[in-house]
Amino acid sequence: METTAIVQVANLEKTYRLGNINVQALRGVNFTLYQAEFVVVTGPSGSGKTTLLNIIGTLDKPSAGTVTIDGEEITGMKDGQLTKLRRHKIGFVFQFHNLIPVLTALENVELPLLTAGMKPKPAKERASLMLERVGLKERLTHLPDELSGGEQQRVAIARALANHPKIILADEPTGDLDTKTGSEVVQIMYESAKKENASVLVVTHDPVVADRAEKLFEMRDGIISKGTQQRPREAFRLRAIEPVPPEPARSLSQPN
Amino acid sequence: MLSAKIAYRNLPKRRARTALTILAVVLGVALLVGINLATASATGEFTNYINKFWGRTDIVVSYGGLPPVFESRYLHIVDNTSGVQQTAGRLVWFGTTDSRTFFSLVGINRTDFDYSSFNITGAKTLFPDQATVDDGLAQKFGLGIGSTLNVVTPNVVTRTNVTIPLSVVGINHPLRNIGASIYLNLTQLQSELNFQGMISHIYATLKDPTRAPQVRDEIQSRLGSPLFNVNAPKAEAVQRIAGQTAGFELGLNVMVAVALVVCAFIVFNTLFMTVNERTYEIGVMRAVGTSRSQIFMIFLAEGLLIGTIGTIAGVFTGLILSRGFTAVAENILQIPSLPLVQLTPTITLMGLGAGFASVFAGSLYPAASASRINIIQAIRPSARNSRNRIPDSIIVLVSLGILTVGSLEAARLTPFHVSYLDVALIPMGLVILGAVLFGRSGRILTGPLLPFSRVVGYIASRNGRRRLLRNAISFGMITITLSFVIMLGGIQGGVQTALPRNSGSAWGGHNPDRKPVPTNQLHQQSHQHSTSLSSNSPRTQPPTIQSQSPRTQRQQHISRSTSR
Repeated sequence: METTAIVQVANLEKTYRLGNINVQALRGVNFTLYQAEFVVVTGPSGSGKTTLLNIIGTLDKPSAGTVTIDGEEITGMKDGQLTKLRRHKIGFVFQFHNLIPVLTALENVELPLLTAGMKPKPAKERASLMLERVGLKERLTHLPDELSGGEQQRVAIARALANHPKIILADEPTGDLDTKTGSEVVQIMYESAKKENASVLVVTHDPVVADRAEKLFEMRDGIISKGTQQRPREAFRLRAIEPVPPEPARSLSQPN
Repeated sequence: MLSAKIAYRNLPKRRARTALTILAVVLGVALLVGINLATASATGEFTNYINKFWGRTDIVVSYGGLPPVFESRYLHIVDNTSGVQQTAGRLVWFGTTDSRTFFSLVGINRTDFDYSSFNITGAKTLFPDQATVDDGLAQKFGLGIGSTLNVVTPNVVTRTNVTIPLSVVGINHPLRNIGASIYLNLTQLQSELNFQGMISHIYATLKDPTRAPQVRDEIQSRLGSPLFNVNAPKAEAVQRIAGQTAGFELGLNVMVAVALVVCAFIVFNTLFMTVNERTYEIGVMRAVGTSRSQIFMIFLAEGLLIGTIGTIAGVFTGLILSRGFTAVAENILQIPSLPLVQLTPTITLMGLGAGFASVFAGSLYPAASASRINIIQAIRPSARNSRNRIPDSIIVLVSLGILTVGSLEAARLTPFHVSYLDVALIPMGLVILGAVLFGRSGRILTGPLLPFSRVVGYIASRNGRRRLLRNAISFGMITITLSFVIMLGGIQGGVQTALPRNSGSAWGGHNPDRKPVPTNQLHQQSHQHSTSLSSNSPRTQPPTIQSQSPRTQRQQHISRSTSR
């Protein structure tokens, strides 16, 4: 089933300087992510999971090693090239504060489409479709403050998938959610990514997410310490997305 | 569009800060527009007054010889000078009725363009033995249309006094009622004085009045004799006013510039604070593919939105301020009939340009710093302190180097010398060296310096920064307000000084200490003026009325000699 390699990481090293101390966050990581895979990386805090994710997401630069995304070596790219790469090939889902607070759910999903140069009308149509897919058809005009944590994460998933990316990178996507909501979010992310034929790389502590991985990696002290635990993809495919009822809007005070 | 939307929705989220910043822009622009409108109004009023005072006359030619008359053939020379539209020759002499009150006798011909624009009650055309009298004289002598009077005037050719019987056919109402002239037929006056074919003045109007100084010089050159005094009274008066008010306006505009710099600083502070608060948001936007230039545009749009609201409101506030100022000038400073201040395209553009420029300058750095934000540091606050540090050893070496250069320079042992270089370098080196030693010394030095470190900590903390920002904005507002008060004081003082001077210039006389005279007193004054030959009426342009140029002084001397 594994076809094209979307992400190839070879001998990846990253060293930070924290005050007077050099922290070696990655110590020669080798890793491959194939098309339409759902891969989970777990590990204790400080093991280098997020650093790996950020480097693959072109947000950070490695100290050594190479990263190839969809056939393009990114380590030598300039900021403008990396921005374009993120715009067209990578989608992000962060743990919290994922959305732009002054934009509605629809506008948040439109954001990567408009910044990529899409016309407003098709961008709006695409964003509506993506929000419908994640079960937020009724919440298009709501601001992030008016959405629950689970709904916000679903908007983030819709935004991450809006531009037909090759990869979705998720950093603790369920970290701020209760177990039930977290499970629903992972389910939606999985199903939506499959529909878009996108690969997903999730970094998490959450055993619920880890339990659903097609491939599971464990990181420790900057290296992938355990071999992969492979599960058949069909295990997820058998489960249909259940429509999630919209949660009542929260009323939060506006900052001044 | 997206940038504008994000900017528009972010501004109300920080209402108090946005309102204060917009208010600062409003005040800065209002100050610029208000000051310039008020000064333009005052200068424009002076210019209008001069133009009204001199009518269509752009050039006046008089003669400095004795007697101060010349042949009327010179009229053709002036008439044929390029740029001259129309000319009029006059013979200005003086006369009396009772040996106590002297006045100007002005010989006018029928084609006199200047005389034809006079506000005359009765007949304008003057036949022999007919006269038009300025209303000041008419009132003094109890004259009306149909009255007769005998004017006595010296004939310098026969050395006798000539009596001319005249019948009043018109009463002239000159501007400000300061005229003291009697107008009569030119040919008759020439004949009575034995000055046939002679005139004393040429008045000329130009096709393009802005070329008056050039035409004046050309006429002077064409007339050939240095005894001819060629003046461009309107242009010269306007030039004098411009010269006197230029420094005053420059001072005001420097203060306005200071207000605009403060305004730019407030915009800078506000936007910089906003960028700091929205670091995470910027990081997320960058992560989802927003480019640096798009981030830059979002924050620039935020600044420009503040600028647009503030600048447009500022222009109108400036208009209201300047109208308030003219009202104050009229009612408190007793400056009569200043025109209603209107927004001109130039001043509107100046206000908009200055407002946008200061806001743009204030927005530039915050927008640039937002666009250059490190994405990892933005989305992971824990990574914000992981910047590379320069090793202490290098810092110590640099500080010692700075200290050495500073000390050598202080002892003049360096091959070069730059003023105050040692004063700058030695403290700088000491501070850098001290900082490293302090960092290395542990808690021994921390104790005595605890208050200082607390201050640094306060400034570095988020709440401290916020409070500092509010204080900076408040201080800025106070500075702008104070500047405004100082400027109003400056305007008041400036106008009080400039008005008498400029009034003097407008009248063509030299009287720097002259106080502004209310209109009702001018009428009374005209009677006092009419007792001497040196009347202030420019339309009659007696020999003594010329300004204080060397030529004029010479002419004044001639006039006095003639009157003696």
